[in-house]
Amino acid sequence: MSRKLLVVEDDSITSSYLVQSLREQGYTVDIAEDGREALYLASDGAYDLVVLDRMLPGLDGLSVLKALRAARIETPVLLLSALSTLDERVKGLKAGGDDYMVKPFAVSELLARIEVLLRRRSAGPEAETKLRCADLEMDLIARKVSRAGKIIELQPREFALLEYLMRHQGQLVTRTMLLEAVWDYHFDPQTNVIDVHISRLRQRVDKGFEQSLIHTIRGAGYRLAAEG
Amino acid sequence: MASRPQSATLQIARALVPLAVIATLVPFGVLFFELSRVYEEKAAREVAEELSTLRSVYSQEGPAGVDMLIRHRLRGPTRKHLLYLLEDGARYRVAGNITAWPSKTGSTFQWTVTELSRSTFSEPEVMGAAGSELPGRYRVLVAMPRSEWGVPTQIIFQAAGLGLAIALALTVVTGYAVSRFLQRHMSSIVETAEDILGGDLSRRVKVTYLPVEFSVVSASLNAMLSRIEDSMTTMRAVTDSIAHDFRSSLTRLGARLEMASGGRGGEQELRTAMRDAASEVDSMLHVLNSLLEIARAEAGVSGDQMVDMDLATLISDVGDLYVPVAEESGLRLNVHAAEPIQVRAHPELLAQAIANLIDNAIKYSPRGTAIELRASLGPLGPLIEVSDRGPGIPAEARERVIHRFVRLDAARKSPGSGLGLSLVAAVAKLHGAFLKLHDNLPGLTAVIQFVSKPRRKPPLSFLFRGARER
Repeated sequence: MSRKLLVVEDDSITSSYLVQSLREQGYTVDIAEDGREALYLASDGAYDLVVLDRMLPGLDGLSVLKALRAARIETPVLLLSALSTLDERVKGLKAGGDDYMVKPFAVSELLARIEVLLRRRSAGPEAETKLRCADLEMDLIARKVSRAGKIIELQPREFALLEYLMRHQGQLVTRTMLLEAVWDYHFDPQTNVIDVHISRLRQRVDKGFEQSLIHTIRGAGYRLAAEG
Repeated sequence: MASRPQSATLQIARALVPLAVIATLVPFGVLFFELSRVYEEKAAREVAEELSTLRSVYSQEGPAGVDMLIRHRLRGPTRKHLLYLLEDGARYRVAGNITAWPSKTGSTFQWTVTELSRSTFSEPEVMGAAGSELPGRYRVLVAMPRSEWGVPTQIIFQAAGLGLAIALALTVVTGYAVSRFLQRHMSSIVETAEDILGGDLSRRVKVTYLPVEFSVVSASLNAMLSRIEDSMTTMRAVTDSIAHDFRSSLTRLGARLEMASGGRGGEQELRTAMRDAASEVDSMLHVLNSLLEIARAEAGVSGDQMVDMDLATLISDVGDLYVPVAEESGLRLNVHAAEPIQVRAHPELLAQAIANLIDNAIKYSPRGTAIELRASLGPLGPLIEVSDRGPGIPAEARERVIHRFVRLDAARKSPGSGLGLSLVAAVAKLHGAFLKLHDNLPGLTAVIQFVSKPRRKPPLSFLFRGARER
């Protein structure tokens, strides 16, 4: 089943580049070039996700978003904007956005975030108490991690990092997403801070086991999965 | 300037005239009424004396004696300003020059001001009078017209007129003087503004130290102008640097793409070229993002993003992020934060600034050394220190490295954009703090020093800085 996405973007080069990248990933993509069209297309709730630019002709992105949410259309919305201040992010998320990305952006990052948003929706709301990936187990209540029955000791941050990876297993997770989710920082450290933390985590989780679970996706990020 | 429709002289005079009029007329008015009262009392006393004289004449000589005295008075040189009326029991006038007894009084009455008519004039006049019943149903009245009381009305009115004229003249002179004074002190500001409009941003307002108000205005203007000039200069430098950085990056990128498309290499080589190109783009994006972050920190953040927070928690959080990174480079990162230190700050920007300082420290520290991260309460206020044992920065370059894109020759070879410290400085400024670099003997200590009372009131020396430099 192919996922249906709506890209709202008035710049034709950016939008065609976006659409092409998304189609290559197997998504079905529609394009809207202004706010009114976007609202018209999105208001029947037929899309799995909307990528929404904020500064649009006709009706601006935030108004579109507010109108959709007011009409009880709960389609996940990823805001994409050149407005990069924290203030603007907060405004976007408060208006009902599910994620916020700042232009200029890397497409791999956008794809990863789209994947996460789509997956979150299908995962359903039931509360999980145990996460599992192959023989790796995480008990969220006892806050214990074990692999093949052997307890793995983790620092609180390492636990949070692994939890995020396990919740999004099989998906590409970028460094920025990890920095935002685990440390709640929205800046871009100059050194490979996240790589170091991942390599420590890998030491604990994968070392001594035949099958490695944490995989590096070159130039993009990481993926936790049973097979490469 | 002088042909302005509303000159300062005119406006000041217009505001002062009513004041001058009131200030002049009120004392004269008070004086007039006080004098009138005193003179009226004197007149009443004279009338009462004359009345008692008449009574005693009557008691000795009867109506004929009074009649004679009145006639004598009306003819003679004394008491010429007094008027009389003597009536018999049938209310006929026996003697005197008043036509009729006042209608509203009885036969005996004390000093009363009323209208009475002289027998020679038909017009009634305002007079003060007193009357008395005499034995045998006779009655006598003595009156004095108000014009005879002796109130120096004319002198007072003349004096008031003169006073008013002087006050108005002074008002005009004062208005003129004040406006000249303003003009003289404004002219330097106006001239400077005109020069600046003409394009010379380096001009400053001349600061005269008296009066203080003007020197404060001039100094504030100068401080503002310095700030504007600074940011213009910085902007120019930054634009040049961006252009340079991006131009060289784009040139490299173009060359790589061209080589890849024209080359005879296999797919492997093509992939490598593409990957190089992508990382070139990444580094450009990184520079651009850093610039945007600095711009956003410099533009300031709205007050509601500033929260009361604890520096100790902040540095242990950032330390937590960086301790493994330091270890990976063969370094130790020691975090010292014993007690909570409250500041009002933007947690994320401050975390980023500290991260930048630690990044630098890690980059330049020799293996096996330690980096100290410390938050403490110094004599000036809370401060955050990051110290390393690296090569440090020569004293003369410390001021310079804070500027955007400045990289010392020794650092050219390592990766980086030269924007890290500028961001730290911008974030510090946003918090009313400043960034200071010291020698750590050996190594570098970077300090973000919060000043206990941040912003709003800069010290006077700062205000006058712009002026003194001229």
